[in-house]
Parts: sequence; structure tokens; C-alpha cells
Amino acid sequence: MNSSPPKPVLTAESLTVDRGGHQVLSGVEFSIAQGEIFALLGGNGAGKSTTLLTFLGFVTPTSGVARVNGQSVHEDIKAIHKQVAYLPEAANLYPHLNARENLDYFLSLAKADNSRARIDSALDMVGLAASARDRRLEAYSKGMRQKVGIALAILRDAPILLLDEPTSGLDPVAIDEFNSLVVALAGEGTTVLMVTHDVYGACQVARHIGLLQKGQMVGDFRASAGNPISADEVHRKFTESHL
Amino acid sequence: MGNLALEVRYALRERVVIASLVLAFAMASYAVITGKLEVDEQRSEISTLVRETESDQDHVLGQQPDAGGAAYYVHHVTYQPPSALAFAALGSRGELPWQHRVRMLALEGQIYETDAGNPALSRLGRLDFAFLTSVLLPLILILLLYDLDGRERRDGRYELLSATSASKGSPFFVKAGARTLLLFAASATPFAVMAAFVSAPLGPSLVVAAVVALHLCFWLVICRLVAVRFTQASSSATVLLAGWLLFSMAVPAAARIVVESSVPVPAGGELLLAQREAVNDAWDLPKADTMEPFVASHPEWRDHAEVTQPFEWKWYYAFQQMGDEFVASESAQLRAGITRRDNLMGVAALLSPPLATERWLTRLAATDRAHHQRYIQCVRGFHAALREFHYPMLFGASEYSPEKMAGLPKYQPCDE
Repeated sequence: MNSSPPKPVLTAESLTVDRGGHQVLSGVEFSIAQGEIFALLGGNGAGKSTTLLTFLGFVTPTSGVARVNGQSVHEDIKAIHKQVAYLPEAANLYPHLNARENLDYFLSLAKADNSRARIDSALDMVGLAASARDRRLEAYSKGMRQKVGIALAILRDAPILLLDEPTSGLDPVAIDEFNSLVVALAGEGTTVLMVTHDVYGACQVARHIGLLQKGQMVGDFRASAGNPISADEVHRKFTESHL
Repeated sequence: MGNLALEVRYALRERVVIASLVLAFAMASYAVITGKLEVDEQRSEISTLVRETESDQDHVLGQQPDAGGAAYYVHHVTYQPPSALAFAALGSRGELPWQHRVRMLALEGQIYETDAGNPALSRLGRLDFAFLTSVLLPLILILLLYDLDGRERRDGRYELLSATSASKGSPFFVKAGARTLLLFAASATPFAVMAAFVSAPLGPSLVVAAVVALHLCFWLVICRLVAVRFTQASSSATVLLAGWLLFSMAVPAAARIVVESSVPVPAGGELLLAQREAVNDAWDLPKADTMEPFVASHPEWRDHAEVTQPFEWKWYYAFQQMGDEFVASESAQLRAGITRRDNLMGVAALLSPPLATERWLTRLAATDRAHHQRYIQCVRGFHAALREFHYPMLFGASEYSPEKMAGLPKYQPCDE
């Protein structure tokens, strides 16, 4: 019996982005299968967030194509947005609203189920204390705000998660909880593209890591059956690429 | 619609939105209440004038031995009653005379007497509902919308909002629409309450609301176009304020200058002086110089036009009428000029939505130039009826008797 390789959900085909005469991305290629967690690693200014924004349709590539389930992102951005949940680096939700209201607002905007029970269940999953849920976000720490953002990404119930530095600002316990959550979601078939500069965090969750340096892919690491990606190896490559 | 309701609900949680709505509501309430008080005062003045004039007429007529005295000493009040919607747009009622006390003398001077020095002309504009909606509301809307996108960008929500929204249109357009809707509600509610309170007709009241809504929609579109083009809040605010100045101030002012210079109109004050000189000169002229042209233009009095005494009332009223006819062509030019200027300003309003809004509101409130012109024509019609009533007795075609004065024409507003 032949087993064909899984159809890629997210594909970057020679993505090149120029901005103000400067090449932000240069021929970036990767593909992510359904249920796969792909971590795009890189230092500041490597082009990680630009790659992610290209998949959201907010950055138009100078050449190359970003595809979601085979469809070019720029053909129908709204159709792409329906399949994607996005968590920005700093999940600055509305500071004058509390956690429940923020989630209610964004879920209504997404025309998703915004029942209180569902919202509370997601907030339980991300570990936001019940006593904090009715407080305005302006009184939250960065980590607490990030948890609400993560809850929103979960509640979107989208088949694809695009995460921009998702663990930034979280304490180690919350990072572990978040990583477990992402792994669980991937186990249920969610495809994850996560950009981060946290090498060890990425190796903990991702089965596939791309290393981006000055807009170019300089490393590609895959976990083999039973063996996770070696954080030391990735770290060495990461460090070398910055020398 | 669902998203609009959502945006309305959550916009009401923002302090700047609440503050803007309170400001708009307070100004609209002030505008309609002061408008109503002004209209009440005008109604009260009209009713006092009518009552006092009737009483004065009874008193004066009882003392007159002849037709000439009865015509000469009796004053008549003419007035343009405010419409039910006048509280919303005072328009010409704030700057042009809406009541006159006329006598059987030459009319043109009596009509334009106030043009020689009307203190209302030097008064600053009023904050009526028309001014609020045409000039001030756009400023509040700009305040609400100029930084809508910029703030979301600065706070890092722009992409999240765009990526989360499942609607076909831009979520920022819906956000802006919700704020516009709230501003409309805040400003239109005091108007609606007052319109209901004064039992204003529903149709025109709804049209007023529609005009306000359309004007706000124009500024909503402008704000969105600018927000898409200029991402910096300061740039967006500068461009929008420049647009507001252009549409609300520059275009109307420039249009007024162009229209007034391209359509010369005789001044009412000059017309008054010309007519008075014509009347005064008649005292020193041979009576035939008055009566012959009078009979030529009013042949029905040919058989009664002979003047044998040094003073006869019919001669006196004939030269009064000839005074009117002396300036008839200037008066017609003045009316035509005002109408032409008004029509041209209507064309200019196509370039200035605030001006168009103000014109629509004054038209609906019957306080525009056209309604004022109709009132002036109504005064002319009434004065003509007075002459028709008095002339048979003045020219001796019928006998004067105090009882006949019961049939003295009473002024009826033409718009009612």
C-alpha cells in the first residue's frame, strides 16, 4: 500500500519581500503539513514576523507565493482569515474591557461561538484565574494579557494557528502549559506556524524548525521518529549564523 | 448588522466616545431648546402685535372723520409665522425681518426700512440645530474617527482585528459606522424629542433626520478615505481639519463672494431712499405731474382723478403709489437678484455638503430665502388689497362711513 506524503497546509514558495530598497525576505521556502508544528527561529530583524504577516495577507511578497491549503493568500484574504487564528507578539487586546468582554468582542467579530461557558473553558485552559476575568485588561500583567490572547486563538477553533512570539512575557510555568496546549491542538489536527527566538522552547514543541537569518532560510531541522530536534544543534547553528 | 450592534455596544465603553456623545447631546439639546425659546418669543411677539394692532385700529378708526384719515392713521401688522420646525433652523428669521407694521403709504420703503440699519445683521450667528449639524457635528465626528486606525496600529491590534473579522467589509469601516450612528443618535434625539413636543409634521421631521444622517455619512466616507491614505494620526487629523475648513468655511465664503460680485443687487436701503425722495418731491410738483401718470397706469380712476383743493387725500395716496412705481423696476431687480443669488448658492452647495445641509434644513423649516421672499410678496399682496379697499372711498367712488371699516382687510400669512 502506497502512503502519499500529507498535503501541505501552509507553503512558502520562494517568498521574497522588499521594503524600501531592503530585502526583508529572500527566497524563503518551507511547507507545513496538517497537524504539524513548525517553528520559525531567528534573531531580531530576521524576517520572522514578515513571513507570518505574509501568510495573513498583510504583506504582499515582491515575488513568490504564500499558500494556505494550496490557495494563494492574496487571492482571497477573507477566505484565508476564516481558516487562521492569529496571535500577535503582544496581544494588546482592549485595555478598557475585561477578559470575557475582549473575548466576546473578538469572537463576535469572527462570528464564532461566544458563549460564556466556552469562554470560561478557554480561560481555564490557559490558566487565567477566575478572579481576574472581570477585571479590565489595563490592570493585567503582560503574561496575563498574553493568556487572554492565547485563549482567543484557541477559541477561534481555526485549523491553522499563526503565533508570533507566543510565550513572550510568560513565566516558565505558563510557558510549559502553553507548549502542552499547542502540542495538544496539533494532536487534534491543528497546523501551527510559530515564530520565535526561543530556541529551547521551539525544540520542546516543534517537529519542524526553520532557521531564518537576514531574510534567508539558513537551517532546516526535523524531528525523526521518537527523537525530538536537538536544541543544542539548533542553538549551535543559530549562533553560527549570527557570527 | 450584527457587527454594527457589537461595535455600538463596545464603543459605548470608550471614554472618548462617551465624552463626544455627551458633548453632541448637550449641544443639540441647547440648540433645540434655545431655538424653541426663540420661536416661542417670536410667536408671542406676533400675537402681541396682532392684539395691540387690532386694539389700536379700533381706537384710531373711531376718531377718523374721513376715508383719508382712516387709511392714513391705521397701522397693519404683517408677519411670517414660524413653522413647526423653525426651532431647528432659524435661518432668515435670525437676520431678516419676519414682521412689519405697514400703512397705506408707499410700501417699498416700509419693506426695506430695516435694511438701512438692522442690528440683527451685526449679531453673531446662533447655535441652532442647523448650524450644529452642518458645521460642528463633522468636527466631533472627525475627533471620533481621525485616529481610529492609527490607535489600533499603535496598540498592535490592527492586524489582529483585520485577521479576526469574518465580515466582507473592513472592520474599521464598521467601527467608524458605529461611532457615526451613535453621534447621529446623540444629536438627533434632542431634535426628535422637540419635534414631537411641538407636534412637528412627521414627514419633514424625518427628512431633517435623513439630511443630518446623510451629512454625517459624507464625513464618515471622508474620514475613512483619509484614514486609509494617512496612517499617522497627526497627518490624518491635519488633512481632515483642512477638509472641514474647506467644505465648511472656504467653499461657502468663496461662493458667497463670487455670487455676490457676479449678481449685483440694488441695496434695500438705497431703494428706500429713492422711493422717499420720489414721494417727497411730489409735494413740490404740480398735482397734474402726479395724477396724469397715475391715471395712465390706473385708468379705472380716470373719472375721479381731478384735484381742485391744495390738499386732497386721493392726490396724497396717488403720489404714494407713484413712489412705489418709481422704484418698481429696482424692487423687481432686487427680488430677482436675491432669487438668482439664492439659486447660485444652491449650485455652490453641491461643492459643500455643510452648506447643502444648512440649506436643506432651512428649507424644511421654512426659514430660507425663498420663504422670506414669499413672505415679502405676501405683504405686497396684502398692501394691494388695502389699496383696493380704500381707493373707492378715497377717490369718491363710494361714500366713507365708519361702518365700512369693518370690512378692512386683515392680514393672513400666505404660508399657513
